[in-house]
Amino acid sequence: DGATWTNQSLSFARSVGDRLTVGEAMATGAKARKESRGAHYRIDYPDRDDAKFMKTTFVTYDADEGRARVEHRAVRAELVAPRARTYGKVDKEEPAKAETAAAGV
Amino acid sequence: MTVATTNGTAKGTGAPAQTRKVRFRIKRCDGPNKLVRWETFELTLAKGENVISCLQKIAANPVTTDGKRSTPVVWDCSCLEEVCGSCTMVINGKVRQSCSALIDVIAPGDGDTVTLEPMSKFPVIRDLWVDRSRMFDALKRVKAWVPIDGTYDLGAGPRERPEDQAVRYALSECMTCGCCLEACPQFELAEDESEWDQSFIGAQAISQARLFNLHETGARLKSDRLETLMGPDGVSECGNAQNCVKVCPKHIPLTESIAAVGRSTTLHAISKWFSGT
Repeated sequence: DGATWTNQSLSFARSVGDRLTVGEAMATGAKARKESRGAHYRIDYPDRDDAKFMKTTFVTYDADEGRARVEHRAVRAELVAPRARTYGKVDKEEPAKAETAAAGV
Repeated sequence: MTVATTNGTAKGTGAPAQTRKVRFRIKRCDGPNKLVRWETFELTLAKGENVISCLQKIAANPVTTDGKRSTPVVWDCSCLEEVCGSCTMVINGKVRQSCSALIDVIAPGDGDTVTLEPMSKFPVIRDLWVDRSRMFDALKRVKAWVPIDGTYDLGAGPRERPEDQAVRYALSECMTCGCCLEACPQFELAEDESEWDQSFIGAQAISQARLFNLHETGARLKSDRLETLMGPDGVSECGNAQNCVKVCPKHIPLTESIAAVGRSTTLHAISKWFSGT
């Protein structure tokens, strides 16, 4: 964008530093989540692990160490019991998997 | 192995993808009160493109079909998944989001043309980029929020019945995209902020007012919201064209909201006559 008024490239350039900071925070949080959940899929941990990771990730910037710090906080789920998301598909060989996927298996 | 080429992506084992030529006729403008002009660009595309990916290609090499070197076309976008409402424009005469306008659907054949224009009911900043702040101002005027003391953690909010949640969820999907206002014959372009409270506020704000009136805590401001919508810019200006609900990309029951708010304002006016407040 070469315009001298409302130049979008200029405002984008200003935001790049902040985007890198947020990107680091997101990547650090994702690395700490050793399970697969929804859009977060890991080849090394392909199943959902409610026991360890049914939590919200909070990432703060630790100025002393100069990097992002991850903490996990509990999620309220008293109204709906967590169960496996199979999106209607049922694996005929493992019907039990559909119900137990949430139990940390 | 996927191979990316400069003319679109080739999927599969590196075999050349079938491409076609698509023309983009774009209404351009360098700023408010600047001359409007039409420019046509031609792209060679494979499958899987949307209007924004094509605008990016045009920006990379903005040469018109007359061979004239132009400037990159300017547009606004954010989420690229039809949830933010930033990329709304008029595509082949229909108002919709450009991120979800798939070229394979709107221009499937070789030599097809896609016409791009900015929305006509909002002030144009440049090219396809318009100023939608009037919609956010409308949300402020109808107090589209839940009034709480935000200085400390209040704990969980009020519980609601699943039937009520189903109604409110449908209304909550509004992304302030402007489609309903672009299509509405009663909603007019008003460049100056001072004109906004004299001109029809539109389906978007009326529906959002209803959303917050239906919330147990939000209902504390119901009176204020209804008073705002009883003004010269309010719900009585609706002409019942029903264009809004037809073009809403989130299928929000806008006409239901307008009818409900019309009823609420009537009851409010009657109760005011009796009680004075």
